[in-house]
Amino acid sequence: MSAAARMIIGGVDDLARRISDFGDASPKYDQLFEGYARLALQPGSAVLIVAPNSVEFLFHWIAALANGYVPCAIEPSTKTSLIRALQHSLKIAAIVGPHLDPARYQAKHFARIGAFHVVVCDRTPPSYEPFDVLILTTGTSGSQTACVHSVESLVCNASMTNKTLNINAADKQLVVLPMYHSYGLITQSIGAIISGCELKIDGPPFNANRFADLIRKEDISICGITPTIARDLLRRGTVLPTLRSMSIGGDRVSPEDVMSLLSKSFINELYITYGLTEAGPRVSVLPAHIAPVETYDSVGIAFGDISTRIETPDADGVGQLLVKTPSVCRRKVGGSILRQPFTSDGFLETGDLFTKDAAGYLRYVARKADILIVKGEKLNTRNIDLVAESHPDVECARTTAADTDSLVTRLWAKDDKTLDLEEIKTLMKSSLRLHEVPDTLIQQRNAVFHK
Amino acid sequence: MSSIEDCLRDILIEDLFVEFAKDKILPTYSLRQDLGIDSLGFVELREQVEKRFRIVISDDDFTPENFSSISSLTSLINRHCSANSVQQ
Repeated sequence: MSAAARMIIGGVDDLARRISDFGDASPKYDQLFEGYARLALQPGSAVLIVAPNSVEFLFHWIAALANGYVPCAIEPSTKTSLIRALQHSLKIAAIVGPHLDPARYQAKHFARIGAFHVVVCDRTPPSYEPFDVLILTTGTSGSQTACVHSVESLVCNASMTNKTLNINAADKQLVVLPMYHSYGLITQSIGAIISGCELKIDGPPFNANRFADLIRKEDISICGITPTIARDLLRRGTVLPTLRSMSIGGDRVSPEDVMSLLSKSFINELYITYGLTEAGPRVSVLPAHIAPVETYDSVGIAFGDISTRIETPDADGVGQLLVKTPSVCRRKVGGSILRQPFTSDGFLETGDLFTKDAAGYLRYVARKADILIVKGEKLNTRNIDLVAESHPDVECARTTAADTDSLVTRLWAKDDKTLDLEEIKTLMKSSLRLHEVPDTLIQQRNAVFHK
Repeated sequence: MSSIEDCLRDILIEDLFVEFAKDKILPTYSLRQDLGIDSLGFVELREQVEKRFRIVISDDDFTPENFSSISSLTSLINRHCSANSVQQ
């Protein structure tokens, strides 16, 4: 077992004293560990954890890891159809979560570990190694793909973040973002294990007043939020108790919002971050509270151990951002991965267009065409189109963002039939994540669609 | 089973696609922990409740406490409906 794995697994007892949520019961880690051991899966078997933010979720994740399995977290609202697709594309050996119905996964029985059910669905030789971790790439490269990280890379990235944001054992961190995404899991949860800080876990629905109350009552010193939440707080004029630091990442933050946030006396340190799951995830940070105003439109400078360059920049200096980081994933896996996103000299292809100035400040320009951020959530429009096109009457579908808060899918019918848009929307809701379901469906009749 | 609870089960199954048999959704189940409702799911649930019960749920009422279970949500809807009938 590596030093990083020992740090995570050996740190559980100490973490148990520093972590809490709003549930009624505290899980006993030892019982969870023994429960996973009883499954007797082969080392390297992938375990899909379908569960909401909670201490129980995190302890399951660590207990699976400690048994030599490969944990993979996914949102608790995931439909059976997607889980079954993941079973195949990621070679999932067992599924864990509250109230699992084994019949949905062609199994007859479930075991119980802690408050969760476990369905073992595949005992074929695993595709991974003990102390690997699977992190799903939500939206960016298809819903059925994931990054294979080692525990070392996650610990490395969390350490770089802790160091840059000065997070230490005296802090108390509030988790409101999903722990099944890389930020909540790696940056905040694994970060807390390493730093020794306290961790308070909350979950949806997000409420600005409750957020302020929690920070006050729990004496929170640091928190991470999305730009969507930040804009919501600004719009409402929410006054928070004083925070030592607030970090914002996951989407673009405008310079105007950075300035507005800096004008709030309750934020002592404001960090704007950029990252992607493949990189482990954090790449760069702008410490806005001490940064020159002309850099407010940037995501700062890459962490000290990370190299970046712009691939074949155009006349304006715009090109794909390439990243070389010690926390890079080992490989990507899943159905639609045709090639690994690495250059011959070991740089990760981010798929994001950036500029980089002489001082090293990175400025985001655009994403690849199929990737959108709507309602603060990243999604892949091609996945949405494929689901719409699975309807027998739909010839072709194209999804675009109508604005930052809505999605529209245009549909072309087979044989120019009149489409039942309600029926198609129902189909899409039954297969997609809620944030992927288009707000509007429009049938296009007056043009021949050229595929 | 109250009609409000019944209607909430319908919303969970028909609009949020919660994969439970209707009669297996207990009023005390945690919407988040047991049924797996996530942040956008709660937004959808709020909109559907407003539409079906013709009430407006304020941001102050859109809390984990009020949206913790079918029981707590039923209480919130009852409070709104009582307030509406008093106003009429």
